[in-house]
Amino acid sequence: MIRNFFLADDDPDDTDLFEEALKKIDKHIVLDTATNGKELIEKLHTGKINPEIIFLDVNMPELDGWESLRTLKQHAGLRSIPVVMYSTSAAVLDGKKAIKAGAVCYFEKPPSFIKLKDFLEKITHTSKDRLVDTLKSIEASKSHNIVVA
Amino acid sequence: MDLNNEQFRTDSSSNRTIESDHTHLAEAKFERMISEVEDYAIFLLDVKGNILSWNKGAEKIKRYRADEIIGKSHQLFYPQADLERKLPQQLLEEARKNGKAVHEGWRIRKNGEPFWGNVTITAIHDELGAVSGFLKLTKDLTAKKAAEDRYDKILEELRQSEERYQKMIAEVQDYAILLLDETGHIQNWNMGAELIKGYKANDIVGKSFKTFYTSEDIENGLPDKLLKAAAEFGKASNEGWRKRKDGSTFWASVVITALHNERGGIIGFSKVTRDLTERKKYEDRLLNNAIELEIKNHELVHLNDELSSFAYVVSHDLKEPVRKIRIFADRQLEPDSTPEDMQAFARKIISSAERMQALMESVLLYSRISNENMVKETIDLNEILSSVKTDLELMIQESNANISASHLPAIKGIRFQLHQLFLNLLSNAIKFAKPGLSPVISISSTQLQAIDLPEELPVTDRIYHRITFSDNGIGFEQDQSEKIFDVFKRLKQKEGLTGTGIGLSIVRKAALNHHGYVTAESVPGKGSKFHLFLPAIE
Repeated sequence: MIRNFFLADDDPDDTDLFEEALKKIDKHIVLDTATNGKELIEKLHTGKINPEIIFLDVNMPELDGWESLRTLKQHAGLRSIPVVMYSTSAAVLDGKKAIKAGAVCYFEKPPSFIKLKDFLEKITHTSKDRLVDTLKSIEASKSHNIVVA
Repeated sequence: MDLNNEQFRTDSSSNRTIESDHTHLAEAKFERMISEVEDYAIFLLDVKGNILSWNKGAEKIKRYRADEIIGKSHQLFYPQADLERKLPQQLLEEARKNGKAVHEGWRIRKNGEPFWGNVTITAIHDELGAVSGFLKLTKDLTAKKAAEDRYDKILEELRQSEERYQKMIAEVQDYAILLLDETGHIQNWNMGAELIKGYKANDIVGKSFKTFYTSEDIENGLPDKLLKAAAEFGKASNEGWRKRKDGSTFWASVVITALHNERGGIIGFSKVTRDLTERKKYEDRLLNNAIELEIKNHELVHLNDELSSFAYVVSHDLKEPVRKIRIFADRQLEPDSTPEDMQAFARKIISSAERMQALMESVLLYSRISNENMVKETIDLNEILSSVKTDLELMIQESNANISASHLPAIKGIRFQLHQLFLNLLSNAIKFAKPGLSPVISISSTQLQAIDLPEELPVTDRIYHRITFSDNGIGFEQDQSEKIFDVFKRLKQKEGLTGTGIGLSIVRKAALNHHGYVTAESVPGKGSKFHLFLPAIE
């Protein structure tokens, strides 16, 4: 069961929605946030937080999603944390690029709160080991715009 | 008194009787000597021109034996034409009158062959002073004459060849061909020179060839350098603008060749000039076409970048507010929403819709910053600045901004685009001020050539104005200095800051449309500088 989430996104609306969705799933789920990649890396380096999964928005100031992903994958201690690229741009456009750069999947920001909650619920219900299988079954069900490794 | 051979001998013998034996002996020797002379025909004529004596030389030259010719007229030796004009009689007459007659001319040998004879006829007088006969001395100068004729012929041929050569040079129309003395003064002039340079020979011969050079070239010492190079290396060539008599210029291709005497000393120079103005114009036109092509290519590259940007705008920036409107509208339908939630969702929907409208207006504005069907006019940037300041009056007042500017140039441009360019740079400088600090913005202008120009400019071999906008605002990291110009990429989301992120994209596009460029530099917290490069009016 995945319980520790991290979201890096500069859009406060999206952060609020994300947080609310997780709360509605289970109020004990932990969510840490950052408004850009630089803040994310700094928080991870303090070692006080240990996210099991990281959601990265693509368009962020300072250090954007792609640069953040590269930084994470170059870092021995952080490389193993699965990263979900999470953006408005269509999955068909940027999905492959995300997989190539080392993300576990590209998840297009959904156009409804219900859909977001549904996706996050499926993640929380799986174990870290089963994550990729779960994501692949979501991709196969076509219920979300998602590209999986 | 008639003189004949017999009498001559008788006279001689009678003389001998009265002269001493010694003299007698000497005369006999003398007579024999004459008869033995082989190189000269020496013989006596009576007053009528009949031959009285003959010697070996005469026989050798004229081929008659003494017994064949003695008693015959000396007219026998003359060609028909000379006989017709009575030359033999004339010569005798002249000798009679003047004591002697000298003549050179063709004579005829016995076998009819002509020879060139040098003839001296001397009158012989008797004791009373009357002419009693003539001594005729003839030398065969045929060989010398032939040599002289050959020499004359060669001279004549040489003269003709030189004349032909002179004429050829004189009449060449496509090349100015002149001789210069060792100091560069003009010695001759041809038709080509007249046609190309406009001077008549008597206007220019004797003057220095520097006359044809522009004052700039003369200041730089070009004519002297060319003569020096020709003296040193044998020849020097050069292409450049030269002056005609009427002051107009032509593009000349010049070759100067040093002329040497036998000892290797320089005696002058030949100078051949061609007028290649047409070719030069053609080459310049090709070059201009190449420059235009490069500019067009540059525009295409940017247009292509722009297309990708527009794809991005549609796929991301415009999609984002639509997604949010859907989400919050959807949430309003949730059964457990409180009236407060409903209001919060409605506000989110409204702000997303506003953002979308702002984006669409920006896109529209951006697309209006286009080069199509735009005619460039001369625009005073000082006027642009003052009209932008009027637009921003309220913002300037509220922020207490101080904007100072040095005198700005006029450029060829599109008013609307330059207005947008200045508007965005100034409003950004005010918007991104440090909290609690009034914006101080200064605008300065300087002219730059190739060096110090950013390589993104389409053409670097022209003069550009660099207009720098400096502010004391929050600045940005130097590694962001290119990204900030990308369409719709907001560098820093600052609380309370609005904007679509398109301002600097408009700035760059307007600069590119003017065949210019814009760059930025900054140290965070120390303000920023935006350098705008625009081509100067040529």
